[in-house]
Amino acid sequence: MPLPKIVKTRGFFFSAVLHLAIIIFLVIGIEPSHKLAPMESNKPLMKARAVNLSAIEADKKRKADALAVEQKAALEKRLAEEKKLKDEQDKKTEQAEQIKQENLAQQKKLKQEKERKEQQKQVQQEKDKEKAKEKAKEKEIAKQKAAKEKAAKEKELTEKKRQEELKRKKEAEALAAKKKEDEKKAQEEKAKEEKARQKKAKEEKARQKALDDALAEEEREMAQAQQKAADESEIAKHIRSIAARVSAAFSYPPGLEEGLSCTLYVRMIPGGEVIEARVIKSSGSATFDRQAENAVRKASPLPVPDEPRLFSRMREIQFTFDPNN
Amino acid sequence: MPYDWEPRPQLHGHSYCLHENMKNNYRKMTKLVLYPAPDCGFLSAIGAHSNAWIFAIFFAGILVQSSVNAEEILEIRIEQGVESALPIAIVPFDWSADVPPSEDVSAIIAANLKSSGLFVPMSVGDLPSRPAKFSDVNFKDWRLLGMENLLIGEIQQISPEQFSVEFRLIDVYNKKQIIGFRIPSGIKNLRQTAHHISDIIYEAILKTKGAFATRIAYVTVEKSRDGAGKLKQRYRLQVADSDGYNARTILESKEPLLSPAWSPNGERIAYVSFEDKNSAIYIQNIRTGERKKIVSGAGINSSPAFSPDGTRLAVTRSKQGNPDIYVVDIATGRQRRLTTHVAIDTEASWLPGGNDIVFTSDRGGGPQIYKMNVGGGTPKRLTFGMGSYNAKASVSPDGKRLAIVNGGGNGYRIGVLNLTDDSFEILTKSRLDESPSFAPNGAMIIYATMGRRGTELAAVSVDGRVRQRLGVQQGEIREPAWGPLKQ
Repeated sequence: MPLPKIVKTRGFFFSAVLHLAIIIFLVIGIEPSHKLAPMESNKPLMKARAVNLSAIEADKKRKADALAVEQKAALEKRLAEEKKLKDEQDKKTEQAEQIKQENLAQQKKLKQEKERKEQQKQVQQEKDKEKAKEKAKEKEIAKQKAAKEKAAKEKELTEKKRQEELKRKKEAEALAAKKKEDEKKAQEEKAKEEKARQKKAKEEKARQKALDDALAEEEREMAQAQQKAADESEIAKHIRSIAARVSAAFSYPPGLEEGLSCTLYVRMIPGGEVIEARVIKSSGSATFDRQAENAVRKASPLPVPDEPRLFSRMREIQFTFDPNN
Repeated sequence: MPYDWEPRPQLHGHSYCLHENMKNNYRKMTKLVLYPAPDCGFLSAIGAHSNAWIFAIFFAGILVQSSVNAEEILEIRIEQGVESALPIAIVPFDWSADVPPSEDVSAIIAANLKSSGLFVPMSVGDLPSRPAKFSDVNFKDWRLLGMENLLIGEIQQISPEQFSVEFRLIDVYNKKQIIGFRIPSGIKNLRQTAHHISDIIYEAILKTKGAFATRIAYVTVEKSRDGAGKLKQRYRLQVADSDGYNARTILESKEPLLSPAWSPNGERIAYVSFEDKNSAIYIQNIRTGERKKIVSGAGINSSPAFSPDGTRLAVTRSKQGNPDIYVVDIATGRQRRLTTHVAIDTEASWLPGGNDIVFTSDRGGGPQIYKMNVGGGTPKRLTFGMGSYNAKASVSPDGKRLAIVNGGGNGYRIGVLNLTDDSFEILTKSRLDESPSFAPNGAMIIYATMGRRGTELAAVSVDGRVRQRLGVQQGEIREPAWGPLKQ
């Protein structure tokens, strides 16, 4: 829907409004339940309501009548206004002449005043100049005096400073001496300490060494003990094996005397081969003795350890045969 | 019946002479030079145990005590072994004769040793080799088999009738000869020689006398019918080798022969014969056949037993009504009544030393064994708690044991009563075993048992481990008596 143009003439305006109203009515009337699609303009022009067509016609005629009346009143009003305006303009011209006269008098007075002020200012300037001169002189004297004072003061200050410097120097020297003394002392102390430290370190080292030695010894002993325990265990194991083997090989005939027991000395070579087996304590029964000897020889090679250190302890064995429980 | 002491008398006897030629052979025996023991150097590295020994581990409870102090010699205690027969390998003797020797000497030796229960001869088929000489022996082989003892030998023919048997017993683990002999042997004495070698081996290893070369005496009964269908019985008193072979009849009779008993020196046998219708006790010289009637007369005359010194006989007589023990002086014939009880006293047997006898008496109700001093005194009962029937005691050579017929509900069996601790052990299992007699070395007991074809001889080792039937006899065989060791 195109935007409505603003029309100056009222009739056209009314006509346009009317037409618009009709269109709106038509749209809404056809589908009264439907809302109009929103207009693109931000503000809606108006809101239309359903209007009776005959009412519109009547309204139109009433409005035309009202228009004629209004037009006549406006003409009268305009004529009155024009007369009033002419009266005001005459009054204004009179007032302006009066004001002009007043301004001229004022300007003359202002000029006189200005000249007087100018004169006054010049005298004042002379006076000020003199005064400034005097002031400069005073200032110079004061300045000289101040310089004198300052010099004295500076001298005193310098002296004081020198004295202080001297004192400081002395103090510094004393301090340096003291410092030197202290340093020397400290050095001596340090040397002493170092010596003590070294001594202590040496002692510590010796102590540590002794400790280490003791520890090493202990470890060695422990290792030895462990080795010994391991050896014992290993030997015990082999003894059991040997005893089992010899027992299995030991047989004797029935009917022998009871309570027989004999002891054999047995010697082996590495690997467990029996190279000597002899009775060192007889049972009294040559048969029993021989069977014991046979058992050892039958069991040969005996299960001895391969390790020479262990074997050396088993190369000789004393067997006691005592099958009596 | 074991307790049959009332035989009926009858007559007719013949005596035989026994050939004793083997006796001379012993004196001709040559001891073989012992081979030097090999250097006691390094034995074979091969383990000496054989599979046969593995089983022993099961039975070998092992207790080990040991000291492992480095300074001291290690000590190991073997607290269990296996009581078992000794292994021996007997290699068939080599022979160089034109014809094989009539007897398999090594086989007889093997059988003898096995019968003792103390040896386990290796089966010939299992022998790894058959060496005849010491130098041929591969010790490693025998050790692998666990053979502790090895017997090798050779038989050489010197003349058609004469052999020379050489043997060596070898200690396998020591690689040395234990003993060796060369024995001349007549062709008929090879069996005796084998027994003799068996004894030598037995003694060499066990250090006690063997009793293989000994003899046994027994009575056989042969029953037959004559042309008229009449039952005829032949009684024979026989002497045989200890294994039952080589039986020789020394007396034959139509009437019962009973209770042979050996003289201590093995030259004579006393026995009961009914050849005079009534029982009489004779002593017969085995070698000469000479015999002498020692006791006769009314009533029973039975159960002779030589005293250890061979001068007296203990006999049973019932001339006073009931059987009692009498002691008869063989040289003078003087008799002395020992028991006076109204009960039956019989079957006397001497204890070593000749001061005491044991005998069977039913004075306690049933037959039991009693002991009494031959000087007199009160008999002391020995058998208690061993059943209601204990009879016919045979005394072991050391006098410590009695072999007894032990009867009860299960029949009659041979048992051994240990006199030192009164323990009693039944050795046999048959239904009817009787007449035990100790071997002269005390290792075995011979007895009569009921076999499939009548009674026969059997022997059992004193521990009951080995039982065996002896020889091959015809007819019934009764009352064996084991003769003494060779003098």
